[in-house]
Amino acid sequence: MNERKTALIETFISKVKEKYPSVMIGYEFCSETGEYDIWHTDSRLQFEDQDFLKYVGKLMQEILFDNNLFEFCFGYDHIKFKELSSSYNYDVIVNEVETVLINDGTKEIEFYITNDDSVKLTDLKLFYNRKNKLKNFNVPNEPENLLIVLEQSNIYVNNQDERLVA
Amino acid sequence: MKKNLLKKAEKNIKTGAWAEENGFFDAAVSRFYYALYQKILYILKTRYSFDTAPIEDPHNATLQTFEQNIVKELEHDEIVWIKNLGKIKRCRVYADYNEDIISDKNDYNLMFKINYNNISGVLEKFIPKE
Repeated sequence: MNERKTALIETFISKVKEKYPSVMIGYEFCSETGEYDIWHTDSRLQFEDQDFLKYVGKLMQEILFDNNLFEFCFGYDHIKFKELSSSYNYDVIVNEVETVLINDGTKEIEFYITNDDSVKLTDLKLFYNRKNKLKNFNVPNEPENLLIVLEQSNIYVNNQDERLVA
Repeated sequence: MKKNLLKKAEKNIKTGAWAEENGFFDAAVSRFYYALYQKILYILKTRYSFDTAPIEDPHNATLQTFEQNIVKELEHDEIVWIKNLGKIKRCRVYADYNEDIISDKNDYNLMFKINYNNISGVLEKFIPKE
């Protein structure tokens, strides 16, 4: 990996995250092809949101092409999405608006979220071992919100070749 | 002679459509990918005086040459689809060589076909109509 190119890729990713904070996005470098594979796991943004495409295309132009970096690909990665979502399976129960209970089969962790507007479900930060499995969701309160959070923004992997930018 | 590349692409599209209809999604990915690749070769040869791809790593070299040239002529949203070509190529390698079979149509669509349709739409702008 080239340090200058890596820095540009990370700048690009951080700019995407600035506007779309819940998107789960990262990159891998392929030493065989010399190409950076920038992936994300939000199919709705990729396939249904024209503003996302225009924004990302503009960033590519300004941050990557204008700095002579063409050796990358970008897009929704369904294989990565399946790999990550099947690797992070937890029982998730929202008892009330303010409590989230996570049960991974060996321990239970409770997150208390106040009803204060300053704290949102998107503030949840979950750090888990990849070996654990997600079984089911039972989220009576704002299920879509929490699912998106779990799937896209709160999974961190400590892997040098697979950096997730949060 | 360059138009033969388009004829080959059309044959691959028909074969891909047949494979898709019959649930042979791995084969469909492979055929549709080659249809795109042949259209890219055609555009490179007719628009950018591209000769032949290098023997070593021809697909990556061709795709990178194509992308570097074509992005100057594209809108921002179109750029994103063209920069998806590397993903499409990876998906073709997966379909051809991975031990897993793409057996679910939803997976096939999300892994490949929606991207393919969008990339194909961008390429059509650069292919003269009969």
